[in-house]
Amino acid sequence: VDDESIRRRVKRALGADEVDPALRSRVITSMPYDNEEARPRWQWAMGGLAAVLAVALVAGLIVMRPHQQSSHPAGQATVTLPITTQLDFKCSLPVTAYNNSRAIISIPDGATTIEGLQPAPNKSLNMSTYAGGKWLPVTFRWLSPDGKSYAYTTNTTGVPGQGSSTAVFVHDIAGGKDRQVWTGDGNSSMTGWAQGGIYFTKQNYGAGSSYGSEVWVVDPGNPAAAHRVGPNPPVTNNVGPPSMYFSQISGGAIWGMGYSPPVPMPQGGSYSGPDRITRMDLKDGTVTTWYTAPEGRQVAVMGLDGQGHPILNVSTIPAKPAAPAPGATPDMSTYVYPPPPRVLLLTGPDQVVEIADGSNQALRPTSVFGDAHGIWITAPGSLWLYSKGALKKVADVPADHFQAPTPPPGAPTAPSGAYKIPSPPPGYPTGPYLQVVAPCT
Amino acid sequence: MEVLRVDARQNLVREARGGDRNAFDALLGPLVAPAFRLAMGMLHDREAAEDAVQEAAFRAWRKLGNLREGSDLRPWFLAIVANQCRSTRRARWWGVVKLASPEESRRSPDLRLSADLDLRRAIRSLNPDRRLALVLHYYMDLPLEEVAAITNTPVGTVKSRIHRAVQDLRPQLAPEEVNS
Repeated sequence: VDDESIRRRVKRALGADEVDPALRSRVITSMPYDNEEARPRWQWAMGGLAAVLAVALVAGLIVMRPHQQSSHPAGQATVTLPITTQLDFKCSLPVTAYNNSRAIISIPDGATTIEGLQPAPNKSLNMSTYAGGKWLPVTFRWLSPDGKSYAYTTNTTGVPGQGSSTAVFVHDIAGGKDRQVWTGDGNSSMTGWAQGGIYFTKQNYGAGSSYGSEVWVVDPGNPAAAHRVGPNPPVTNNVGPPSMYFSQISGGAIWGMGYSPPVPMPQGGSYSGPDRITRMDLKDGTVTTWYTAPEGRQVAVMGLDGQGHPILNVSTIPAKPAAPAPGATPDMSTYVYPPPPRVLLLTGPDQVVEIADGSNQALRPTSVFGDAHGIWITAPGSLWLYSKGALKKVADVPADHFQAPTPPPGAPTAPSGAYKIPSPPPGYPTGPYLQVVAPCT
Repeated sequence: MEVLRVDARQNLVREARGGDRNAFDALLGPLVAPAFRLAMGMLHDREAAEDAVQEAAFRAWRKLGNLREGSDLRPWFLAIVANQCRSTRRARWWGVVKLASPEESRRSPDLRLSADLDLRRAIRSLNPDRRLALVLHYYMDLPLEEVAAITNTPVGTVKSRIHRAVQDLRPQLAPEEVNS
């Protein structure tokens, strides 16, 4: 049997199932916002141990209150969240949680219907959105303004003799049909809909061209007019640090996080977090810096408010204890829990409104979402609303209502007695991580 | 130019480590399709394959700190996918239920009678290391060197595993060769 015959037979036997075009978006957007564990080796190990500690606390809560779990055989559960602030309006708030569970929280009474509960642990967060009574496998910003369709990108690599190619599709939600509206070389990722059409960032890897991350727009009604947005030459990543990534689009602008060159750390190595927020005007391509983090802090765009202003998370660059000698055990007794971040609303160049000052240990945001009611903020074990200049905790989210996060696969487990793990500071939050994924309507 | 590309990729890795999903998408997004193909080749079940890719991406997201500078991302990620598929298949109850699923026979009665299905079953029953090498090389068209990188074994071992896999499959491969 010759090589080609085997190849042909194996391919025919195993079939050629096409990948779901939406799989990429589902996979990428399901990554947790916080990627603390993705640190090199020993730092990662300490993060893992911290996660073990947090999960142990959550697990303790679950063990203590097993009788409060109420789930149905069909993977659904109905619970009532303990309301801490009585709101004066009614709406339904879609949220997602770990293990692909999805829930609609009724405001103001806290009645919550959870669906998608799965028995298997270690499922990662699967972010999606909710529109027209349906759960959709894309983020809210990928929805068209009329809510009838959503956009996504696909990328094709590995075809012998061909470089990477990419395409933008529009999916009609009611009809279930996909329409390709643009294709080109390189790879791309979706940013979202805004005035002018569908915006996406495109990375070029082609031979003879420099690597760059460009902002493009395609109008589904006039696909032939697709074009790159921004200054010429484009703001790219091929210049090395400082570099930039554009992630959110609103108010006639696309917002990016800028990185300065890495700063050497006392214990060796270097560190570079995003330290500024940059605005690119969609009309004239002007790029301006709107916010620069103070020294020792990093800043990230967590989301947008109802008017399209970026919501910023300004956190302390974690102080890292000295790296252990090769083969030595990390000294967990020196682990320092970082303080809660500040949460700011960026309303203009160097103009911010403080939503949270970083003094409340319980307020360590996992997601934000702006709508007509204000800015919804989730933190482990709690749901908050910033409205009319005031931040209030709306409800507690008990650990036994949602499946709790577990350590990431492969995270180190602490042998009994091997590490002295410091206790978290008083008020350090535990509990399910929810994510608000659509407006409260 | 290559230097620029490597630098750019290091930037992406650094930014993805910082929690930037766009950077992670630029790194891993193009590998989702080949990862799915590998998972399909190993698990023969679309839902399980998508789950495996999802979990593997989550592991990759968490393990970016372990990625050595300058190392190739594709074999690194496909190795994680392969390990995830292995973990999935260790769930013995799942395998038994899925392989004996009556639904499969209802969906494609003709296929069950074909030599292709026999070969598919035979591939499924291969030793996992041999099956992985076979899928990577013959199903995904990867060169032996990349298969070696994914399986973390010398090229010679890869050749040996593929050879033994073909030997194991010879009864299922032979009939068509005779008939054609």
